[in-house]
Amino acid sequence: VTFGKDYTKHRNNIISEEAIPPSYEISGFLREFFMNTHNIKNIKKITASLPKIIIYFLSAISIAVIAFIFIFIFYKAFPVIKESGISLLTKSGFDEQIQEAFYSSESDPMLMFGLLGLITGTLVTTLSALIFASLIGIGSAIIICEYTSRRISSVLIAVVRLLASVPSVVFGLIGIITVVPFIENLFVTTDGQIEYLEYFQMSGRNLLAATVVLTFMIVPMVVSLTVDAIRAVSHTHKETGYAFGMSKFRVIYKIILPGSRSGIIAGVILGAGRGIGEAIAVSMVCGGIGLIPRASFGFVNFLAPTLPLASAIVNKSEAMGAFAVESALFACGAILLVIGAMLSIGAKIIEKRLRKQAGYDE
Amino acid sequence: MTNNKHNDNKDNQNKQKKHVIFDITGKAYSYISMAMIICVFAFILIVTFRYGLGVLSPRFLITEPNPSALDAESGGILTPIIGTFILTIIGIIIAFPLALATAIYLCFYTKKGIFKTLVKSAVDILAGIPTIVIALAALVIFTLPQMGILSVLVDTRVNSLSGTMLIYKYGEESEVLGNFDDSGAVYNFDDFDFDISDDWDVWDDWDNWDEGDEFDMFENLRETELSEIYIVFDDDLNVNITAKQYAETVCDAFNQALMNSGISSEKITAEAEDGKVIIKVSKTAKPLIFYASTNEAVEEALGIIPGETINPGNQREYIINASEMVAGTVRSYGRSFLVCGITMAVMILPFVIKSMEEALKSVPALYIDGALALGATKWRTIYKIVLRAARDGLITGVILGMGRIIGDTAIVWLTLGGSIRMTGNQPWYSVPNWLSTLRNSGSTLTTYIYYTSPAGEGNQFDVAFGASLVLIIIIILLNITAAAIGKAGIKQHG
Repeated sequence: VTFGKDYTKHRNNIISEEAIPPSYEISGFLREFFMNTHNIKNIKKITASLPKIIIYFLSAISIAVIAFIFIFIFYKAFPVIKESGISLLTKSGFDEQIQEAFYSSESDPMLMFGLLGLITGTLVTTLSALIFASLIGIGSAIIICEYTSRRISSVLIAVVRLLASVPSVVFGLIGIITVVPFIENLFVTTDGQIEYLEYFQMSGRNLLAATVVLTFMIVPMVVSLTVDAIRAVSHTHKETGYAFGMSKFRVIYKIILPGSRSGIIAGVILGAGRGIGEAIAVSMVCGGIGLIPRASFGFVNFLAPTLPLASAIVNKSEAMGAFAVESALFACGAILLVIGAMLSIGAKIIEKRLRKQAGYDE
Repeated sequence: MTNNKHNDNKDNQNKQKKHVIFDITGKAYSYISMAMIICVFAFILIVTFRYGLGVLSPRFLITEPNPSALDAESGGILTPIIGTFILTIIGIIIAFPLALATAIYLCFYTKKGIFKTLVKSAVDILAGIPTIVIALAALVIFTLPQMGILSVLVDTRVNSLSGTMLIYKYGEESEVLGNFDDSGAVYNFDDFDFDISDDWDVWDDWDNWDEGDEFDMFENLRETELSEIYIVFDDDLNVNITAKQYAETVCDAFNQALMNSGISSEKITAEAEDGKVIIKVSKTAKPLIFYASTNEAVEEALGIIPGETINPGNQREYIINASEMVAGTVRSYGRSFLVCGITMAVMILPFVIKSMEEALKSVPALYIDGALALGATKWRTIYKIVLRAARDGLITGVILGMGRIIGDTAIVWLTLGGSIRMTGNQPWYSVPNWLSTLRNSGSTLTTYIYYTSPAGEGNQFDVAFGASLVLIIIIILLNITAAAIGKAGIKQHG
């Protein structure tokens, strides 16, 4: 232990006697440094806590990313939000406004936007797709869990997983090649087109096509979460139902589905998140005009073109060179960001509450 | 008594009937739902194969795409496949350490506090943010000039000077003498293979126009027979540059065009001086007349009035109207493989974190306790025991992330751009150009499908289906790999 000190003395002697090369100086220092047990302990301490520091640092990056996304989206959207105020959410007419904004001069940009048409477009497409998707999804989950053998159900789950991993652009492509002409042949007639000509141009690219495409993009999520939830329902509950002489579907309806409520709701919320954020596939089949549905039109609303927020960003992204257009698209992004964040927080809260409820039930 | 019993029976029968009907309808509903999902999946596969199989060939896979309306020349999907591959690699390389660290933190550093809540909710919120919003945010961040290393720097002061200045000499026959384009280069119109004839009407019936026909696109110029030289500022001469640069560019183009036209600089010349353009017409020259400008910005900037004449022996100063100038900016292009890869990493982060967390949680506590009991430190336990035991789960998480990257379109469309070829230094595949390729834009299978679909510009849906087929095959293979790894893991751990 005392060698280090001795060595220092010795070295000092040498230095006083003759000049030593700098390389020796350094190696001497290093040797001395590592000989000192106190230093070694310190190094060990540092290296031992290094992984922890790295892990904390890398975990903090997620927080930073979220912060950056919020800051930059709202920073860019601010001019439009400030200029439009509340009318951003209560007025419509996005299509004309974006054209006006594109041609407005840089020194006096057109920043008055009303995104109501896009917001209703987003809500209507997502809600109607969610209704269909949860109907289909819950039924399929029942088949997978209750009506089939293990082998077949694993095949069915594989199909659902593959459907989930089909890229959105392929959904859009198939939608535009098959669903759009199909709807056009089935529902769009010349008489109908003439009747509604003053409101919109009726074509195969409409709300219905967007809903159909979106439904089958959301369905796998609902199915897989419902399957997990149904499988988690306690066996005793089911057996009790059968013991009381309930028929199979009655057990499913009265015991299994209520028991798996939390999973189903989680699936639907996740599906809503996907539906709201889906941009490419919907933009390919939606028609690209943000109309507000009218109650007087009834079913014809589904034949009108629509434009959800996310699709608007894709559709108009080519005009983003203009400052006003860019800011408007970022305002769309800001609304999506808030909705998305609220949905995921809401899902967490619902999950927690339901878990608590289940805890009390048992 | 008997009557009552009879009623009971009837009631029971009714009830039973009701129950049976309920059972049957419920079952039917479930089967129909399942059948719909299977049919849709089968339908997607059938349609993709039906249209896509026709174009699929080895040549399709190894040739580069070519923007052409002719099917035979449209090329294959080599660069989109490579693009998808590059993005996947970059995304995974960035996301893997981040996700692993966060998953380890969430699983094994159980001390509760603000930091933990923040990380947890950040991951949850990130999972709920639409990909298109992530792409938008990336677009802002990566167009900052400081981020130029990730994509190319764009000098809007030069680049936005897109437009043409045409200089005409009027004589027996109209002649276009010079032209300057968006790069500031000046070239002769002689390079183009058309003659200027008297027949302006050809523009009206394009259908009857054949190659080699002559047409006159400048007849309207000839109507004003006033002077020797016309200057036309054409197109969108974007004034997003500084006044000084603007003046210099205009003078350069002007003089170059004069030189090309054979008019000596002694007769007419332009000089740039502190944001001023001075055009001098000597006494021996003919008067100079400015023809109508098609761009208001230029008129405003230079203060040129159409039809304005500079007489011989005079000179005229055009002061660049500085208030109309927006100071130019240097910014990053913000669209490149590197940018897109980083954005992809952010997009997949929450999903990979969640699946890795599951994998880490599924490691039996027995292993961990055993290691800790033997005196291993926490980090050593994680590194030597947990990560190895959870290896299969971690790999599955990575594959999940890869699938999401390969299938994403919105992020690629915004942060990689819509160009279908590699835009870096050519050839893009040679090693010295790799960095340039990564810093420039290109395409992936998904954007290529979007581009060639009826929604995009290409409108060749069989090519789109060919690319879809390749994409779907890649994704099915990935799913099979993930399933196989999962199965192997189950076998290993019993």
